[in-house]
Amino acid sequence: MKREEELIIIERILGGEAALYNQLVNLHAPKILSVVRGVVSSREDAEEVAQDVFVKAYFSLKSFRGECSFSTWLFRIAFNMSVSKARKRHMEHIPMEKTAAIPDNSHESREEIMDKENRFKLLYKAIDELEPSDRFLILSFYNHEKSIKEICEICGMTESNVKVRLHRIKKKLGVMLGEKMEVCYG
Amino acid sequence: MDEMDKMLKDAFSGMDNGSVPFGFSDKIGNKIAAEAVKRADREELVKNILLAVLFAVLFLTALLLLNKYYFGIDSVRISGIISEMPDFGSKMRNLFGSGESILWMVIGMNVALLLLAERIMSHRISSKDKKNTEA
Repeated sequence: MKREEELIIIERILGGEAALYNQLVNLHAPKILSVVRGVVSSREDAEEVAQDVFVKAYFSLKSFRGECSFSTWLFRIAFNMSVSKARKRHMEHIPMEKTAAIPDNSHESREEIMDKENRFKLLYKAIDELEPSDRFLILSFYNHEKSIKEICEICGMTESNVKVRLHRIKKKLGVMLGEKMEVCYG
Repeated sequence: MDEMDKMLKDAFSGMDNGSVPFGFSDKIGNKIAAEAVKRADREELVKNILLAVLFAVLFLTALLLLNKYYFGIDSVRISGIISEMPDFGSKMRNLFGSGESILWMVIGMNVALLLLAERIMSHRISSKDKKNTEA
């Protein structure tokens, strides 16, 4: 759905056609649920938070001015709600291994696949050890392909801050991955 | 794009981004309806409180006007009543400072402590029960 179409739908919802909100929910729910799952403690909590994101968005629709895309606006609400929920629950969350499946590349040899699987498992473990807000950031950037500008709008940071933070997270992940590989392979 | 970028992209490419549990949007609809009712109730409560405050202010103004123009009680008399307030305070201090009232206060505190201990114990027991049933 194009941005203009979304804006028209939002205007119609604000005009009283509340049932149209379902269209926006169906369109954005998978991404919101996926990004929240990467931050909060359990599947039930993730569903709960994702639902609350849409409820909050519905009652704040008047404040949506269309300066950013509706998806980015939803991500901003999801960021605030999921990170605060994760902090309340002492940073427990669904292990990445359970939400991510190792990508399948049929042209690779069995050994290559095994090696890749192990590396990804260790990477998921390293990601699990990150702060909730850092997990949200890398999920938005690498999984949902949000641009730096969009992440600035989501997290309320400056462009340089986002770049520095992403760089630090990558560096941290590299170190953690190295340590984990050393433990596993000696 | 460096090695880590590629690895992260690859790692996330297998993530489940498309599935939403059954009835997800219905649950959102129900939550929105419940929240709308809650908000309407809250608005009504605020309106009622504002109306009550408005009526109270009007009533007080009416009383003040009645006092001044009908009963002839002017502001000097009212300030006299206010000046008697410290005396009222000392009377209350005497009342609560007596030995008997201290005894009753100690009894009251003991009862409050017992109630608090009972609440804590029952809360712990119920949370343990909850954990056991979840397990």
